[in-house]
Amino acid sequence: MRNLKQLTDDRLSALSWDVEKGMRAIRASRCSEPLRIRRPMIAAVALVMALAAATALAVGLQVSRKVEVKRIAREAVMAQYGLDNKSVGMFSEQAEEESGVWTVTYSAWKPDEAGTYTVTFQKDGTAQVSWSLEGSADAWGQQEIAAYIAQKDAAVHEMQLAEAAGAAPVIEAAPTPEPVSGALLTREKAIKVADEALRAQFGFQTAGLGEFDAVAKFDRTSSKWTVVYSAFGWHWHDGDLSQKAGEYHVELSDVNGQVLSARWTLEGVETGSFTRSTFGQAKAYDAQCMEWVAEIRAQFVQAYAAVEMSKWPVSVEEKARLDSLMIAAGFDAEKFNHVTPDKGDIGFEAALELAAQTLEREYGVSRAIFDASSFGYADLTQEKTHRQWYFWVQNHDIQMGWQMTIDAQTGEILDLSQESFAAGNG
Amino acid sequence: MNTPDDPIRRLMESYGDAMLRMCYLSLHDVMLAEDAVQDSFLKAYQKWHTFRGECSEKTWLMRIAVNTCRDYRRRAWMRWNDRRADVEQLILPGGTPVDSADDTVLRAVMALPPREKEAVLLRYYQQMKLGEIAQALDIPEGTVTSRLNRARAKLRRQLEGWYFDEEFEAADR
Repeated sequence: MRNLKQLTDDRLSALSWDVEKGMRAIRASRCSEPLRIRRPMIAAVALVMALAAATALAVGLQVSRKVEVKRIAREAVMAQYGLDNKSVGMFSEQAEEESGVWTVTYSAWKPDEAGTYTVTFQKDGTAQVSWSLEGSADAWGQQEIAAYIAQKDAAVHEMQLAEAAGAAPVIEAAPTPEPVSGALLTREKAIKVADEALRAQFGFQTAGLGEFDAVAKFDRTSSKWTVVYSAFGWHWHDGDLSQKAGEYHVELSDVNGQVLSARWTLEGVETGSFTRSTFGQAKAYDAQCMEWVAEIRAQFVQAYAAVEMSKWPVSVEEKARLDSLMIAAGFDAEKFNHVTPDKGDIGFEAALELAAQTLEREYGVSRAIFDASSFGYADLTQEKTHRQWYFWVQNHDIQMGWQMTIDAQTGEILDLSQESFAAGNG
Repeated sequence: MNTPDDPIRRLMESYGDAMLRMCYLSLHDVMLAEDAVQDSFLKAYQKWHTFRGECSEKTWLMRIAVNTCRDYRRRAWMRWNDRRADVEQLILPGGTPVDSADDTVLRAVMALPPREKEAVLLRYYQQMKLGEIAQALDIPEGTVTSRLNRARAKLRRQLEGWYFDEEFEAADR
């Protein structure tokens, strides 16, 4: 049998990296300004944009200066270069203000082909819009970007059809006990003995042990088993759980099943005398901590499993409850900052209505599209200076997504952006 | 005369193809894989001055690539769209003829959970040592071993009686 490297290189021989193209993108990144250097920029086009006029349009919705500036910049790019809204969504939009001068950049997902658009607003409200690939014959404009989007959307559509038609997902069979050549014990028996050793030596209970994956290896030469316990790679907020849980290694004799050694890779790391309500501050999780981890993790798993692939993410109330569990265990309240609406805050339904109105006004997203969208996030968080709603709205029929933050007390739209999924950033 | 671009050009020439194929197997999408490789080289270029040689260039670069692919997978599009690209699309006209069993192996690898797939790709595709993989993934060697063991158990079950080879299983003993 050929090895995996040979197989992959043969089968995927059509995929090869274009070094020259890659180097062009590297060279382009050296520009301190967000302009690409492959082709000279020709004259920028001057537009007169009165920000005050934009504010007047914002009847009924209160939007931040940043959101206004982004809207004008987007419209300027669309008007000047003939891009449509979906094509603009392929660019990463950044708006920055320095000494009263706003600069909005649209960086392409493919910088070499589609370049960067820059809109600079002066203090008097005038704006200049420019494109780093101005005048280039082979740069991607509306037509090329639309073709790229269509190609990618078609690929996604085909994939969805294939899945709907029951394209065979790989189903994991339950492991069956297998005899190990030359060994008296089975793997399952070796793990069972090792489990008991960890219970006896480190004080593990069933839930805590369940946070680990045990793998038994047999060494014929010494007739010994080594069982390695690795914590599941659950992202435990402060980092991968396995880093704080460490590993346990148990050695045992195949001849009589006697445990020869049991050690923890984090032995010596200060575990302190943490309690159920303080263990969030521990640098390493001992057996007792792992029991508490298991308790909390079960709550998270249950909450997220309940909403898997539904229109809505975990509810605001549920996220606040889960974060309160973390805070009660000693974790940092600034990180676990999901809350429920306070007195005087805009409630969920009202915030959602603001989101729908904003998307309709800013991007022309119809109410029907909004209602048919799903939500990656719908959160209320306590920030340092205010509470804010955060929505991540996704529509897979039109392959677009939008993010926005809303001040929970004033209802002001603080920030807003859109992305075409074809850019890979949905 | 050397230019500041030289190290990155050398890395691209040495590892570009293999990174692109690895990212494809990770992300299941050619265009995303190309973007991930470009991002990885850009990060390598930007951080080149911080590379102190604590590990090999390859290990350092693979660590960047793995993390970039993880970032891509975390994005909502990847979460909501379980990408199952068809390797049939990737045969070049006049490319190496392959038998259908090859696809079975690649599909099985592509279907592994992400963490196990990372370990398998680094070990068996990039042909890195366990210690190098541990450095690249920033995990203990024992964890690399257990991820490889889990992956091999799954591959063995899926390819049993057809393509699974004991040499594959015994490769790092």
